Amino acid sequence: MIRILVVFLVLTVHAEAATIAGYVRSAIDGEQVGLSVVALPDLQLGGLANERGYFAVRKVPDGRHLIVVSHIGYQSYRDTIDVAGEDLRLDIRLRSEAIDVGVETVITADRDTEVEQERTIQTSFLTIEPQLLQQLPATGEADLLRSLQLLPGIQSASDISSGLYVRGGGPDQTLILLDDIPLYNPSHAFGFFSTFNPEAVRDIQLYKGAYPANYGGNLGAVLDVSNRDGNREQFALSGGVSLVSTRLLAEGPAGDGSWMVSGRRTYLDPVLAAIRSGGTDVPDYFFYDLNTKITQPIGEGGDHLLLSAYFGRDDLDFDLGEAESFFNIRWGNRAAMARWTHLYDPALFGELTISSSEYESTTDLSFFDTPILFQNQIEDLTLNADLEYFRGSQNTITTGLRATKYNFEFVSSFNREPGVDLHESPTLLELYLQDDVQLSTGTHLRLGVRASRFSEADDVAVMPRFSLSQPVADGWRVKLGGGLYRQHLQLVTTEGFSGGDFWVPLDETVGPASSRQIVAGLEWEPTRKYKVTMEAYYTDLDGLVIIDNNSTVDNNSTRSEDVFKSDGRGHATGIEWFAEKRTGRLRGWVGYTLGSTRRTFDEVDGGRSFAPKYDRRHDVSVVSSYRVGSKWRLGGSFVYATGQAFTPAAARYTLTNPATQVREDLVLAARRNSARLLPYHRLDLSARRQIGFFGGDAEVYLQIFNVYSRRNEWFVQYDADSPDTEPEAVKQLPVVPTFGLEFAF
Amino acid sequence: MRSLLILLVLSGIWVGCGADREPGDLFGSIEEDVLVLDGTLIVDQPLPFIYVRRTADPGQVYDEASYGVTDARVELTAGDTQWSYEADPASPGRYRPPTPTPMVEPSKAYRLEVRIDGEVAGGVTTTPGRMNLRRTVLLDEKTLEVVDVLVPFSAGADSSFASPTNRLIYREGVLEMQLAEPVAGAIAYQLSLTGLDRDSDFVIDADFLEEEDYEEFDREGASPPLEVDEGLARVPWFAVAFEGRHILRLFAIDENWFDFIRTNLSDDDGGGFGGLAGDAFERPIFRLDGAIGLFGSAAADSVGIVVLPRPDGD
Repeated sequence: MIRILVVFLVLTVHAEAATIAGYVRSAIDGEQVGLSVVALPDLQLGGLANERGYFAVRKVPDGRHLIVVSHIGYQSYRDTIDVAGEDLRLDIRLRSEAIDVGVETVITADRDTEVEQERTIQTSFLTIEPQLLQQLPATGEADLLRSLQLLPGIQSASDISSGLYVRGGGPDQTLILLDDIPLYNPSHAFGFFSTFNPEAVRDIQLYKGAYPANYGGNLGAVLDVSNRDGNREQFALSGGVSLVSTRLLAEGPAGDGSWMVSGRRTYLDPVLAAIRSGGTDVPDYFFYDLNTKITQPIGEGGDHLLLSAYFGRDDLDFDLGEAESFFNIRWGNRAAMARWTHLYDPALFGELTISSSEYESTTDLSFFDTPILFQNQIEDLTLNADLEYFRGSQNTITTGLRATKYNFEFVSSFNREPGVDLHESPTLLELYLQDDVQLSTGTHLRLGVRASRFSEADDVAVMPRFSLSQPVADGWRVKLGGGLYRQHLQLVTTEGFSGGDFWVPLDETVGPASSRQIVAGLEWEPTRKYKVTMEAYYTDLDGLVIIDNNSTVDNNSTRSEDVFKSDGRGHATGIEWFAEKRTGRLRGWVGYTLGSTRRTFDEVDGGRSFAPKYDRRHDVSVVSSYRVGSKWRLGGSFVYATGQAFTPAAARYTLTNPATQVREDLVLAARRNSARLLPYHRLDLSARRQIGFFGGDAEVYLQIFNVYSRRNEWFVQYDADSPDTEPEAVKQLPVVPTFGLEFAF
Repeated sequence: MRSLLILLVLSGIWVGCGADREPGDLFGSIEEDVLVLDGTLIVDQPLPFIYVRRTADPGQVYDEASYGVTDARVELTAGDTQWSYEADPASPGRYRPPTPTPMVEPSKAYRLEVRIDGEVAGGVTTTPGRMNLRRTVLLDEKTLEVVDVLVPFSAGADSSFASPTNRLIYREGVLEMQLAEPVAGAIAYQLSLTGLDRDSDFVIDADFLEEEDYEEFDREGASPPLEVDEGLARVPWFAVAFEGRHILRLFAIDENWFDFIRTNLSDDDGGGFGGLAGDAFERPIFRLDGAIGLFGSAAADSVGIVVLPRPDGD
């Protein structure tokens, strides 16, 4: 199928003439700059570079033409090119724009071409600068996922959770990719930090909903993170020291390509060892992660080979030292990929990727000679083939085939007795086709379809998707997007901690979950400095499952219907407002979401609809970064959100325990999630100062989390053993000051 | 004046930022005076007491005398036979079966009906078949081979406790109960352990336990519901905290009993992230009409053990 398509596309391509194509890269380090706008204004021709920075503009007539390449955060590139009937290969280098000190580059490219960018075409799409995320106040150290929680439509479960709850969906409804490889549990320290090393991240793209057909597998959103390729120009070293960990990144040229290695490790273990030597029982704990990447051009035809790998591990060990009692939990991800980029023709860009991602966790404990073991693993091996055909400045066709072989294992034992022994190896086949077409000046339509077949549930699905973008006045634009989505894998998790999380395939006894999304937006971009958006979304879900806490302890069934309460339905709807100032000394955003999320399960609360924990009626965030002089930078963020839903107590009663015949005081639950915790709000501040550091550049920082130390409520628990039932709201983190250092040579 | 104004503003912000509230504010809509029925039948045991009470405000101390219902008409029916229960004046809310008290029969449907001033509540339980423990054994903890076979309780309590094979050194070997065959009509199983020597010493001893941890240990305990694969149920040593004589019981339980214990997470003490916190706090499945509570049944068999401290005191 792919071969036929390639032959067809190549034949079509060769019927045309004079194509200008090439890569857009950063002038500083040679890193690719994806999604740049390439325009030939005098010809009214242009196009958008793909995520790898590759572009192709076809049907360019002979003559001398002006070419303009622009991208937010970079000065526009302007040059003249001579076309004489031959295809032209360009390697364009963009210089960074000194946006922090308020110098604004005058953009002369036509607005009509600038709005070609992905974030303009696609609804609910955001690109985030890693540098800005690193400047935001944080607990301990900068964290990608926790910073994303400051965007409208994205909530957190608690102060210690980096899980993303996007537009009323759970963390497992967001596909998280690192260099195109799915990460199944992207967290360290039981969810406190994400696995993304901020030092190594080059590019962050977030689709909050209605994502396009080239992604699949999850009901709600996509977070696509790319690590740096490495500096093609010179060797460079950068890093950071915080109270939590030390980070280091080394990069440099390798032949005509580049390499990058970055690592991060906590140093909590010596601190904990010192506490232990004082006689206090504390566990031993550490985490580390390692990212590496090598890129290498092959030949002169624009082909590239890329190798990327990630390895991360958490280890908690608590040896109680006697009575055969200990607790050990280890978990982590391993991921690797190799990608060959091939240009069949200047206008036909192809990629062949083979990747593997593995997540495993082991909980091994013994309490008074009673051993308990839980082991789980999810592993995938994926072959991915993509083609992108730049049919012209008005049309780009993308297609791809993806075949994934999964391997799931879940093994448990209790008191030397084997328990669950799950081994499943389903396959997922996916095929997509997408067409980006410019209908008229400034009007863009993206039509796509994705088909999938999952062997475990014998499920075949065809999922159409679309996105429409239409200018309505100077600086004003309306957008519409939507699609069908399906999910075959289910995360089994406790919402508080993420260490023992595991994934399982949903078999034919419950079937896949599905969603239907529609998003409508209005965007106002009066100047390049400011952007204001308003988006309304509605997601309808069915086939949802939740873990059934109430099955028997030694239930060894591996059928989905015995593990989950199924046939759940729900919806999420809301309106988001987002005002952003993108350049100048003062940068930041104000976001507000008015939302509502509901779930209904026949087996839960008598089939009544209820608000899940992460439903928020109001969610406000104010984020800013202010440059003072040439050395200081101040940052601040404020968040306010409606309190989480929880299930309160409605009455107390007594019953005789049938097995022990002892009278027990019990608490009767009211309707599920029928009460709310107090509203959540928090102010974080940070100050950073540039200093000289052994001949390099460095910044020292002080950040204060929860400045006014509001003890936000986390969850409610009841002590049924006391004579009168005493509910207690367990509180979240108080004020936490931290400091650290970041450097670069 | 300006300082005072700043102080007032700051005080206002500080107070406004407070996240404390009264415990009573954390309750939901109160469901007082809901009828609570409580009675479990054990095969080959006499008909049990039935308790009829009402729920209380969750913020109040539960006084059984105040919430016991004394004027109910309580009837138990099995087939064509009906037994009328009598209110026990010594214990408000408790109802006694007729004397001589009939025995609970296996594999039989029993209907409970309670009437109070036009209010009708009740439920049905079908008793499981008889249970026969094939044997209870002590396994070697490494090879899992049988080391000793314990004397069953059916041989007499004294001989069970007196047998050397039933005298177990704490945390030595693995104790396993083996069923002769699956119990007919049983939905699941449950283990219970009851210490008979009320003043015996702790057998559990570890430096990592604090003084208050010891206060949490009970002399009675029960497992969650078990599936008892291949007719085997192993007893975890962490369930044992005291020296002396214990009765170990294995129950084959009916659907009502199973549904209640698997969905009643109230004794998890909140447990941080599980138990009563968040999504795990749900109303149990009661399987009663017009009331909450439990009317269930089980078959049971027992063995007596004597727990001895480890010689090395570990």
